[in-house]
Amino acid sequence: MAQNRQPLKIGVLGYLLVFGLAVVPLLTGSPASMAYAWSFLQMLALVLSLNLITGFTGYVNFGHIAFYGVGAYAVAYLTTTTRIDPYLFIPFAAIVPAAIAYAIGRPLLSIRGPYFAITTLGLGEAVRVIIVNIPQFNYSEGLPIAAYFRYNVFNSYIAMYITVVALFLTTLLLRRTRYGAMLEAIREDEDLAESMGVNTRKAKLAAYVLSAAAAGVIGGLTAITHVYAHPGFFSINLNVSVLASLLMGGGGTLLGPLVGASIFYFIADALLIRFPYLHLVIFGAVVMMITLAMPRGLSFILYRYPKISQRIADV
Amino acid sequence: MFNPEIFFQALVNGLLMGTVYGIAAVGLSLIWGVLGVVNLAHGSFIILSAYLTYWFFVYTGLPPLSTVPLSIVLGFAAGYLLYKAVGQKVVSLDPSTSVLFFFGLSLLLSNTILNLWGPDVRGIPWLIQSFQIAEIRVSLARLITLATTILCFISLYILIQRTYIGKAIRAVVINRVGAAAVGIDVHSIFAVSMGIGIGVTFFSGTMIAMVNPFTPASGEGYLMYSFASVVLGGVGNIIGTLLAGILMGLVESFIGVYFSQSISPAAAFIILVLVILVRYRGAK
Repeated sequence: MAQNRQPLKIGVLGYLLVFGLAVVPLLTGSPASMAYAWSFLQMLALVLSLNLITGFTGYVNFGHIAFYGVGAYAVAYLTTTTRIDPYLFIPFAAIVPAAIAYAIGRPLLSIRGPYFAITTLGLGEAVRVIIVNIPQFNYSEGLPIAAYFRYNVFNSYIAMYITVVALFLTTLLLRRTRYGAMLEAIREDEDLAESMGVNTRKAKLAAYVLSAAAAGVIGGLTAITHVYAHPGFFSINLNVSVLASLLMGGGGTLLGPLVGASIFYFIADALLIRFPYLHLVIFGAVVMMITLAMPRGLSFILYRYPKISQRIADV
Repeated sequence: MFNPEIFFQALVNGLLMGTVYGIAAVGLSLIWGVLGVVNLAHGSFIILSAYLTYWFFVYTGLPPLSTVPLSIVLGFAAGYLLYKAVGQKVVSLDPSTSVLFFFGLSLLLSNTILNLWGPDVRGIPWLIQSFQIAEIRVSLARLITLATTILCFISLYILIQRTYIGKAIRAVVINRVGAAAVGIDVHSIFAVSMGIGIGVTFFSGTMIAMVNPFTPASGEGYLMYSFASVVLGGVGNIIGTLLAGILMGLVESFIGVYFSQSISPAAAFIILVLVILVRYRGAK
């Protein structure tokens, strides 16, 4: 979609602004504002990680949250068995989901369109059912890890901050490199991309594994911050929230996840406070309206005004 | 050790429930085949209809079977109006985006149900008797459900195979552009098919309310069974879908007897994935 790829435009500026603002809670040191900012950064990180597969290749993944949950359980399980600092196990939170994604990715990514969406929806549920039935993972009670390390709000904030920055750089790189263009070609027309010499299987699989690893890391960090890994991590509602934010902002772009996550985070928060019982009803209606009104996302509105978009757009 | 009594009991139960799963999946299959969109809110529609049947039973005290015509008419109206309101736009969307649209609808419906009726398990205490044929017990309510379902399916089959509208629907399933070229008003066929699809779904919800307890969250399981039946039986193929649904009922029943009831949705999912991998690899 983006014809001109010039450096430092509105997308990059938006992220730099967010990274600047996100330092403020660290300086003030107030735990409440840090917790609030942490939740936003987590949402942004999840949207950016889903963007790698759903945004760039157009494969709508309803099972993304399964990797987030697996990452959380990987960290919590290793911490409870070895009783040492959980941050040491963050690499495993990336490796385990990535290995699973690599194993199932080849057959899974040969399914397209609605079939892919349905299969991943079932897959997410299946992973949850499997985890809940494993005795080592304490069935539906989950694994609390508070006893094994000293919880520090600064550490968990900084870790999430670094994750978001890393994901931002990855997305920026994909927007600038040949590999990113390959993924975009798959999204626009997979058969055509293949006939032009793109190794679509390899490209899709790499994007899928990368997004699974990122989701795993976010899950592991969330488990540390919540000092608990439990079946609630496999929440289909969270998956849809992330997906809806991505589509609302605009998939496969740099600006899209930021716009989507910000709007979604503050809307969902406001809804939950105002309408504690009806917020999911309203959220359902919002999702329906977004898909009808802006099927390609908010950030594509910029392209309706070519004069402006040529100067500032880096969506 | 093989016990023929248990085996045949499981077989009969599977057939009785499978027919209900089959008719539930037919509604999904019809909409998917004709409109080319995947109704992810299918499970919520089933449960909505189950709760409406429950409501009707509580307030009037009439046997739930008398809800059937009302349920079909309500479902038809809901589907028809939904298409008239937003359908044209939804059909024009990218298939993956339309899945998200229906997910939004499903959230809206299931949480509305949750707010209206609460999270408790509900059921309709009606005809709890059963009778025995040669060591096999058959629940009377399930037998009546089976008969009603067969009657409903035969009427649907006649509607699709023997009427002008049915012919037009089949034409649209085979080739949308071709159907438009020979003068079929594709959009009105879409609206009618959506109506029939949701109507059948509502009918299956009433049937499920008559034989099974339900909560606002039980739509998920029926959705999974329906998906598996549709991809197994063929999208838009109503006989195939019904037969696949019966197979799902048998699978559920035998797994429940020989392994554990709690893993039968997982079994449905495994069948679904295998069928998708074999049949729909690379399909759009």
